[in-house]
Amino acid sequence: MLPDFFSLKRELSKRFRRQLRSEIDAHAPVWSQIRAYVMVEGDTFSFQTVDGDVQKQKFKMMTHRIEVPADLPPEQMQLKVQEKFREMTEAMGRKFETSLFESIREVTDRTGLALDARGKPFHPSMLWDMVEKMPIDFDKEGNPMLPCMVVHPDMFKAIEPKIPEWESDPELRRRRSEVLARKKEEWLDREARRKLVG
Amino acid sequence: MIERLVENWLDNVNERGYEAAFCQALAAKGYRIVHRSSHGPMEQGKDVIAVSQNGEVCAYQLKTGNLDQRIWRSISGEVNDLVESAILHPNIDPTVPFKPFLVTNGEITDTVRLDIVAKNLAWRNRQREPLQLILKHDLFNWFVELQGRFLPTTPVDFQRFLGLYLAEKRDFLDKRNFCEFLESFLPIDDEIPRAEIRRVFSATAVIANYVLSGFQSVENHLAVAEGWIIVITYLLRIAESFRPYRRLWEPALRLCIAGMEDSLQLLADEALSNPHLIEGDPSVDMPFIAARKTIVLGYLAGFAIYNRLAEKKHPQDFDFFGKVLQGFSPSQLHLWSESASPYIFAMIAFVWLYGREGQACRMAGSVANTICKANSRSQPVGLPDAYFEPQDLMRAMALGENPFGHHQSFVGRSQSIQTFVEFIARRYRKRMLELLWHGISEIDPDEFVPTKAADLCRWRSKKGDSQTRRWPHPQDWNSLLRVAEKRETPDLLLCADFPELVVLFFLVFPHRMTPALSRFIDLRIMDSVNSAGR
Repeated sequence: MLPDFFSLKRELSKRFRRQLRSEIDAHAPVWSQIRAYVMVEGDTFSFQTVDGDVQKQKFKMMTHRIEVPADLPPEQMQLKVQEKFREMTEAMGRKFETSLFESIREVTDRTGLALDARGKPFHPSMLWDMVEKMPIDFDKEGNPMLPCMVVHPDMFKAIEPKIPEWESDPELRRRRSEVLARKKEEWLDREARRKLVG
Repeated sequence: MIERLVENWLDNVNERGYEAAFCQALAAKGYRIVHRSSHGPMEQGKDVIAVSQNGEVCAYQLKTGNLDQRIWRSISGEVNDLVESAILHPNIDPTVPFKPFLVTNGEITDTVRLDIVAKNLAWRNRQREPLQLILKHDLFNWFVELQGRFLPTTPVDFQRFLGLYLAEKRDFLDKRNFCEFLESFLPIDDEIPRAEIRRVFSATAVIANYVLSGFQSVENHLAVAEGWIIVITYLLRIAESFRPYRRLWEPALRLCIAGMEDSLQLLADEALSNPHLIEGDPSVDMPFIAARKTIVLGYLAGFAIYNRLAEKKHPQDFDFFGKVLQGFSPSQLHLWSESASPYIFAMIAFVWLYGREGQACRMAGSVANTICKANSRSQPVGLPDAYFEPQDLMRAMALGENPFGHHQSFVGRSQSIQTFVEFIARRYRKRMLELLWHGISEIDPDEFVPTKAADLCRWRSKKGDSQTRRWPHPQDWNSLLRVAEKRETPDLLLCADFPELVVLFFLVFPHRMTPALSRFIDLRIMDSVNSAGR
C-alpha cells in the first residue's frame, strides 16, 4: 500500500458526505423540510395515526450506484468523482422526493383524502376543496399553518399570471374565509379535547 | 498475547483490584464464598472465607506484590491472626479446622519461604493447619484456565478490549464499548453445557475485572459501579436461558453484585464528604457541576432504593436523603437529554419514600413540563433522546460541534414522559396533571420494544419495534389510572427475581426505562412502604 493519509482523508470524507446530504436537500425541496427521527435500534417502527390506527412499517433502503474508472489520472479522477457525486445527489434527491409523494398518494388514497380533478385545469376552488378535507392547525397567534402546495413547474408557469386575479376575486376570498373559519373551529375543538377528563 | 496482558494486569493491580476476580475463580472451582472483608480491623486476617464443595473451610489473606523479609515481618501479625484466630461467622462452626492461605500477586523470597516452613511446624504442633501460599504464577494459571475460550480472539475484539483496558481511567466508562466487548464473547442465546455454566459466569466477571480494576485504582467509583451493573445485566441476560440452574450461576452473580455494592458505597462516601460536588480542575468545572450533581444524587437515590428493596435499609439512608434533598430542585439539576430522566426518577422515588409526596410530584411535573416545552412541535430540534450520553452532548456543546444527524429532531415525542405522568397519576394528583395536560397531549410516548423481551438487557437490539403512540384526546383520568396502576411483572429475570436492581439498571441503561418497567418498579417501591412503613 502507498502512503494514504488514511485518517485525515476519512475525516475529510465524512465532511464531504455531510455536504452531500445538504446537496441532496437542494434536489428534494419538500423532503428536506421534513424532520428526521433516528431509530437507533430494531428493524421496524410503528406509530399511531390521528384516527387511532397503529401503522407498522419496515425500513426501506435507498441506494444509488456510481462507477468511476480506476485508471484515470488524478485531476480527471477528482473531477469525475465529483461529477458522479453530483449525479448521485440529484438522483437521491429525486428518489427521496418520489418516495415521499408515493407515500402521500398511498395514504391519501387509503384515507379518501385524494381529490381527483378529472382533467380540469387548476382553479383555487380545488385548493379550498382539498383544505376542506384536511385537519389544519393554527399557530399560537391563531394564524393558519397551511400545507405546502407542490405544483409542476409547467403548471406553475400557466397559473402564475392568474394569481393576482384569483387573490382579488371576492368569491374566492369569501370561500377562503369560510373554509378557514370552519377549520379554525375544528382546530379549537381539537385543542379543547387535549385535556384530562373524568 | 492475552496471557501477557493478564500478567501485566496482575503486576499492576492491588489486592482490592484482584479480590473480585480471585473470588470468581474460587466460585468457578465450586467454592461457596461465605464472606468478603471490608478490610477493617475486625477481620482476623481473613479477607475471604470460602467453603469447598466437600465442606472444607478455607480462609484467605490477600496481599500485593513481592513479599520480602521486611514486608513479611510487617504482616506477620495479620498472618498469625489468619492462622490462629478462629473463624467468627454465623454460618461456620468456630471449632471446625480451616485451611489458611496467603495470596499475593507477586512472589516470595527464599528467606520468607524458609520462615513459613518453620512457622508451619510450630503451628502444626499447636493443632493448627499450616499456612499455604497462592502466588502470582498460581493466580495467573487460575485466571487463564478459567477464561479459556471466553477471551477475545479476533483482532477487533482484542483491540476493543485493549481500548477499554488502556482507557483514561478518570473518564466515564465507555458503556457502549464495554457492552460490545461483553457481547463479543458471551454466548447469548447459545447452548451452554450445564457443566460450563458456572465457568461462563465466573470467567465473564474475571475478564470484566481486568477492565474495571484500572478505574478502581484511581477511585473512579462511578465507572466501576456502572461496569458491574453492566456485567450483572448481561449475566442476567444469559441466565434467562438457564433459569432452572440458578444454583450454578447465582454465586458468580452475587459476587458481581457485591462488587457493585462496594463501589456504590465508596461513591456514596465520597459524595457525602464533598459538599459542593466539585471535582478535578476547578478552573473549568462550572459547566459540569449540574450534570455531576444529577448523576451523583441519582446514584445516591438509586443505591438507597436498591437497599430498601433488598430489605436491608442502608445505615446512611437518612444521610443520602439529606444530600439528595439539598440538590432537589430543577434549577440545580441538569436535564441534558432523556438519559438524565432515570436519575431524576430515582430521586423523586426516593424523596417520595421519605413522605415528601408533594415535592416528588412537583419535580415529576416539572420534568414533564420541561420535556413538553422542549419537544413542542414549534421547536426545531427538541430534547435529545435517551441514546445521548451527557459526555457526548457536553463535549459537542463545549467544542461547538453538532452531535445530531442530518435534520435530526426529537420534537413531538418522548421516551420518559409517560413514566413521569404515571408517577403523578399513581399519587392521585389529578389536578396537577389537568394543568399540564395540554402540553403533555402534544408529546407522543415513544419506546423501543425488542422482539425478544430478554433483549432489554442488552445495550442495543437489532430486532424490535420503535413504537410511538398518541395520548387519547381527551384523555380519560380513569383509563390513565388503570394503566398507571396495572400490576404486571415484565417477563425478565431482572424483574422477577432481582427487582431491587431495576432502578440502578435504568441509570446505566437510560434508554431502557420503558413505561412498563418504571411502572413495575414504582409499584414495588410503593408496596415496600405499605409493607414496611417509611
